[in-house]
Amino acid sequence: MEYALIVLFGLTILYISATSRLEVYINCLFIQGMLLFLLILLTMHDADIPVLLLLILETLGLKAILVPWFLRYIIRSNHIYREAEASLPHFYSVVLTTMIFIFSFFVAWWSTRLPDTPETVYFGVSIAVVLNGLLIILTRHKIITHVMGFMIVENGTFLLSLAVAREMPLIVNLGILLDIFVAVFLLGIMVTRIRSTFEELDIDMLTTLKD
Amino acid sequence: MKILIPVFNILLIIFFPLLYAGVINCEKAWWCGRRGPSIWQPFYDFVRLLRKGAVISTATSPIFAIAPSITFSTMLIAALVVPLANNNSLIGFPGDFIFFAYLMGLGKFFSLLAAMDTGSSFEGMGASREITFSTFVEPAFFIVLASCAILTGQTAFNQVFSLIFLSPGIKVLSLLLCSAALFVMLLTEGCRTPVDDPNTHLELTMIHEVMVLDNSGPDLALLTYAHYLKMVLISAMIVNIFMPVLDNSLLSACLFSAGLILTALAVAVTELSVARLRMSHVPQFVYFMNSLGYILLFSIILIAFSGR
Amino acid sequence: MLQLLLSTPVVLSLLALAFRSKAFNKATLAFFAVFYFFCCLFLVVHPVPASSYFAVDGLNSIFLLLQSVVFLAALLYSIAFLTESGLTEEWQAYYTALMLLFAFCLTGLTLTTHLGLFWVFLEATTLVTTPFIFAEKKRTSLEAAWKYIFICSLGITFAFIGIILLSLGAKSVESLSFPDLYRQATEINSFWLSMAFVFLLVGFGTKAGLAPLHSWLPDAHSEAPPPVSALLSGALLNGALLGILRMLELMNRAGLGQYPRLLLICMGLMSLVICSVYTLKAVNYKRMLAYSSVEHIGIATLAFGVGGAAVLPGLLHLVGHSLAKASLFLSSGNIHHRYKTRDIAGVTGVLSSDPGTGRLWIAGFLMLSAFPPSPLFYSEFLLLKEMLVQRLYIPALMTALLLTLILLSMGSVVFRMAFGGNSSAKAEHSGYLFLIPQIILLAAAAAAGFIPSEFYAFLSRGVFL
Repeated sequence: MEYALIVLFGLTILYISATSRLEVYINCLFIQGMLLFLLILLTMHDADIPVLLLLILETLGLKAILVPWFLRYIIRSNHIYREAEASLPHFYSVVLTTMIFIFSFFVAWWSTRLPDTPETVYFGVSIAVVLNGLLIILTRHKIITHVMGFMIVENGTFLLSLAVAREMPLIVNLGILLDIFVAVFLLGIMVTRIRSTFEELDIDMLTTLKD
Repeated sequence: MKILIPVFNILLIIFFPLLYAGVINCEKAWWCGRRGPSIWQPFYDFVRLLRKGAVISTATSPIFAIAPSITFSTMLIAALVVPLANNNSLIGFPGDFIFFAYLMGLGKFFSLLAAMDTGSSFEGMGASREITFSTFVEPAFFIVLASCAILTGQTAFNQVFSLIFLSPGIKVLSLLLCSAALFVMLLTEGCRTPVDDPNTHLELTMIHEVMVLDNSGPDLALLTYAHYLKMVLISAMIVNIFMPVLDNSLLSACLFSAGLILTALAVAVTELSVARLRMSHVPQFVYFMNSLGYILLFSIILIAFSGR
Repeated sequence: MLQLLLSTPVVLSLLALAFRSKAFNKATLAFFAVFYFFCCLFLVVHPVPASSYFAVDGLNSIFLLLQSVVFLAALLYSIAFLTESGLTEEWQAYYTALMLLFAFCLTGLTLTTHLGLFWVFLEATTLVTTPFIFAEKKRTSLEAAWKYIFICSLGITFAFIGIILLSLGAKSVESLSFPDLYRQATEINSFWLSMAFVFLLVGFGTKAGLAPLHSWLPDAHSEAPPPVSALLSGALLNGALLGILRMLELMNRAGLGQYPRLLLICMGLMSLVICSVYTLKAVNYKRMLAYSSVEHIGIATLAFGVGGAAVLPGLLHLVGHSLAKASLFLSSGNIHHRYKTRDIAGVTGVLSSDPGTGRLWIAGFLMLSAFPPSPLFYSEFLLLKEMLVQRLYIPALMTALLLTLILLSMGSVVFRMAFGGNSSAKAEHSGYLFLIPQIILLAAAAAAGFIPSEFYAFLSRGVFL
């Protein structure tokens, strides 16, 4: 069950790479947050109450509800209904994503010969998700998609940190939570600002500053 | 009781394909609020076509004349190795899923040749599309079956499918990915909605329908029958993933038939809820099967063999 | 004492947001500048017992003292800046509050001994400084702010992956605080530690503006208000470098010192090359200063990479660069205020139109380009000597040549801006508050250069190896 959740988490990325609709991206972020939440309920049920509460807050509150809601609000308020064009055809995007999955699974498979490796499925999928988030940032033109790519990278690192059984102290976790929240919030505000200044939300507009 | 299962399977191969088509059409009509054709309409059509004579273009070579029969017969033989009710295939031997895939390929090869043989530009276009999608489906099919074989340690179709439900640890994951991949295959090979629209009347956007434009009479009947049989066989694989071997043959046969009807309903619901993809977006949908297959294969390797 | 230092800025920033009065903002800034300086000085002179997450040790006391001086100057300058800039009352309150929060984050960054908390504070500095950069709401400032927050946040995420990998390898270590890690350095799995170092170097290096990862730095520095540019260059880059230094020490203790050094040398040399290429065709003087920050951070990194006797010059270099560069950024604020342009071509005769600023501009440049008594003179000299001793001939030659090239091209720009122009125009002096901060900074830098031996003794408390 645990593995199924993790692989489903990976599949959301596959779906994102194949579609070009912003609503789908947001839905996938929501699904990712829910999957991480379920994963926590499955694996962390014997953790301390404060830690568990914090993790639930982070997955369900932040990743599943707050961020998708905020991104949707930004999309609505900025009238970004057009598709998120990619700079390469979706077919290649899917192929690349699949290759990244294969590569990450190979890395995870190879890492089993090292001491102290995390569980291979966690490790492989989280590498794949992080790399795919970067791929989305690299290949999509819309600024808002870059924010989503950033969230995907964050989700991937969160999965990786779940794989490492070690817990950070509570204060550090709180700080991390706050940082990510403020980062997304600021990025969202800036999307609105950029929209009102440039009247276009394309990353190609941001090329005035150069040498 | 045991002896009844092969008999049931033979009857299933003979009658079910047309019933399957009828169920899909009925279901679609019902969801749309139409009365629609009777569930037996494909049978009437089949009989009507058989009674007609075939018109064969003088521009074609003998290949056009024999291709429908070859396609039909290869599908029938392929049906022998696929596990049907109670995970029981009529014949079975190690590695028979390769036999199955290449028989399907042979039938497809001849129907492609026949389509090209007519010299019609529409049919050539349909053939080229069909073969493009097949190039993605075939390796994906092997990957999916190979991962199931790795998971169960068996190489015969019927044993793979009878054991996969019992595989420990990663059952949910493998069931999920396997059935998803095979469902994509069902939609692609069956030329159903996200890939192709069976109801379309525009030759430019057709895939399967356009390939059989020049066939008529018994030839068309055979081709249609083979097409539905292919869909039934793939659905049978999906159903068997979820079906353990039961002692009670009757119950198992009933469950299996119900499963097939369910997949038909699933196909109909997909057709109703999803719009046809743009032709340039179809390959990425079909490639999904490959992606699912690879992820399945590597997760199985990672989970089952990393010893963690 | 540590708690006081950390809590005061937060409380004051909340008060500034609550009151929103211009007089209160200025009073707060002035009070905090002096308070912060003396607090840090006290902490450095009288070490206090470490709390569970914060401590003053030999290494971070250097950074703490340095940033307290830079903050003193930048906050004093901010008072003048707020008076002249014509920001609305609301924005002035935001400015004050964010400045104080920035001080809080930087203090936490410098004082913390826990790797996770270090990450949190480093990311927080990005978030706190972003509003400064897009405050002007121009196209360019928005673009700069977007690049800044996006690239830095993404880089910091890599640092987080590094932390996760480190905690994989360090299962037997009690916690991820540096003292624990140092104590049990040899028990950490060397593969995971090496991987973690690469990721942390990418993450912290992004924030420090090391060469292949520096693309946000010139944009952000050129669009930020002058005091913020001074703080970014004079304190924030150092803070990120502190993380790299701490990791480097961990690698040394784990016996893996060789390959991180190679990485650092490569990155340092690359920074020098990038800067020299840009300054040849500089058009914007604030961008030129920003690239020069890339260069000097690169030199310091190079020094840490060379290691051995070059670590001390590296620290000295950071001190000298921060003070000189902060003063230059503040002076550039004066120039921008007068000429309303950031183009080099639009600025001539600063000396005649504004003698005070012009003199400080030249003095800052001389200090930055290592004319004695600049501490940079000693640091660059000692670095080159150590490179020759270690037989790193080609890097040493490259460093010397590139430094000369940068001096030449930057010098021509600075002197073209300072001299020439119409001397007939009436000279207008900037207000004292626009000049005193730079004088403080340059005096501090000169003091460090005049009493090298005492200063060396202080610095060598932080030297590892």
